[in-house]
Amino acid sequence: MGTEKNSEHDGLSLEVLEAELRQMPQPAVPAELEGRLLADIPAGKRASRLWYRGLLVRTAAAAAILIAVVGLFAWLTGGNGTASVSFAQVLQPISGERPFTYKQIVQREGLTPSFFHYIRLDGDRARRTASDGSFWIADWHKKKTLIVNPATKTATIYIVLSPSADPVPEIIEEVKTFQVGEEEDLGVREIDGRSAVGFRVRKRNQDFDVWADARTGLPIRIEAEIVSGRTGVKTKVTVTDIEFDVQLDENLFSLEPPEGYKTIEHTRPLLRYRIKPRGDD
Amino acid sequence: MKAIRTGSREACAELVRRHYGRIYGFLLHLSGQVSTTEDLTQETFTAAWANIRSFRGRASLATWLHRIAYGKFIDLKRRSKRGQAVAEQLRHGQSRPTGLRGPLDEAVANERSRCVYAAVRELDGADREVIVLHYFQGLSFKQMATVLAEPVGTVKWRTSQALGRLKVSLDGRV
Repeated sequence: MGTEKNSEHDGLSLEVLEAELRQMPQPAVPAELEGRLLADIPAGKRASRLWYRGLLVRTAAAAAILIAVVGLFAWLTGGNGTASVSFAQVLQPISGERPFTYKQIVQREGLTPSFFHYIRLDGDRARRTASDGSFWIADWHKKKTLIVNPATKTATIYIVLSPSADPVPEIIEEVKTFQVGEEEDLGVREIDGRSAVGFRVRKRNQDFDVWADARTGLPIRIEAEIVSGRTGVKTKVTVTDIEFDVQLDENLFSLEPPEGYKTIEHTRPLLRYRIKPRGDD
Repeated sequence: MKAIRTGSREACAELVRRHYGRIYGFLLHLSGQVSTTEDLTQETFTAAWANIRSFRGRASLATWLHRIAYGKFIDLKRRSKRGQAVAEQLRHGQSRPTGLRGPLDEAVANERSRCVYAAVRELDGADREVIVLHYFQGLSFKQMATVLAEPVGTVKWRTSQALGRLKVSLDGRV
């Protein structure tokens, strides 16, 4: 096929184009996928029991922390004293400019958990590091995100017009959209030795439980269970160790690709991306 | 094949090792979406494993797997309520990356290749299918005919037409 040449244009001849197409390399396959399939292959295992890596799981793994901190009104006592925490109080720290950090665990049913560390410098700049050393940096003011993968020595830059369009959207951005009145009271429980008040927010058929310090109103834990509508596979996302007003080095949020890395820069803005609702993946 | 049919785990693992990357690449080129690709690849091998006894060896194993994978992709397109949105994404050559990995980006190294690849992604679905199968996957027209369930002549013509349209779309860009 295609031995004719076209000299009318400055572009590729058909021959060169065909050669170019034939030489197109295959994309790298995430090693864990093949491994997972191999692990699931034991004789007799039914197809329906294999674990799929679903969109929701991707979302969860990538966006990881999500959730929302919801409102709460809690009355607590230290003996009999009480303290109240409003929903607005809980939302305010993450919606504003305060720096904060947290850890996140993404546990998919039957799989080894993934760990992430998220840091946010201000309302515009955030960074998330995965346990494999890869990291993601977002700068909403510059409308760019950088994804760096040490394993492949690649740095990819995307133009992102809004946080929800990010290739690896952060759940905390979703939380910022929560409104007072959306929360359901979960009562009080003890978390890491502290009294915490909990609230459940349902967004797109997914439940997010947000626990906040009953005394200060600061969020201390976020839990979400995401169920794939197609496979039924559950993924549990847990945000812990939330710390506010942490000193962070601005250099950690630089969009400059590391030296020696192959840089891939996308020039078109990504389309808006949103977390898929249960039953729609 | 005998070993695979009898349910030998080792034989099945070998099947996965040999073909997983190729099928993953095929589906990624078709869908442009990593998460969709991952799902469909898993489903393809799951289906292959479940139906291995029906494989009669008339086509090669690779062709058979491509056929299953293509079927999975078509099924997904049909049942997707958001087919419109997906089509739009593909048309614009935009896909949701896999977060921190970016296999598509890694694959396309130089500027001209990136341009060509972008143009392939901008092709309409039918054109992209034949280009991917013939050039990226290296399937013969006969093998493509099996995968697409179309006569060889039709597949040849489609590929020729698609290549022509791809060239036109690249003129002035490369």
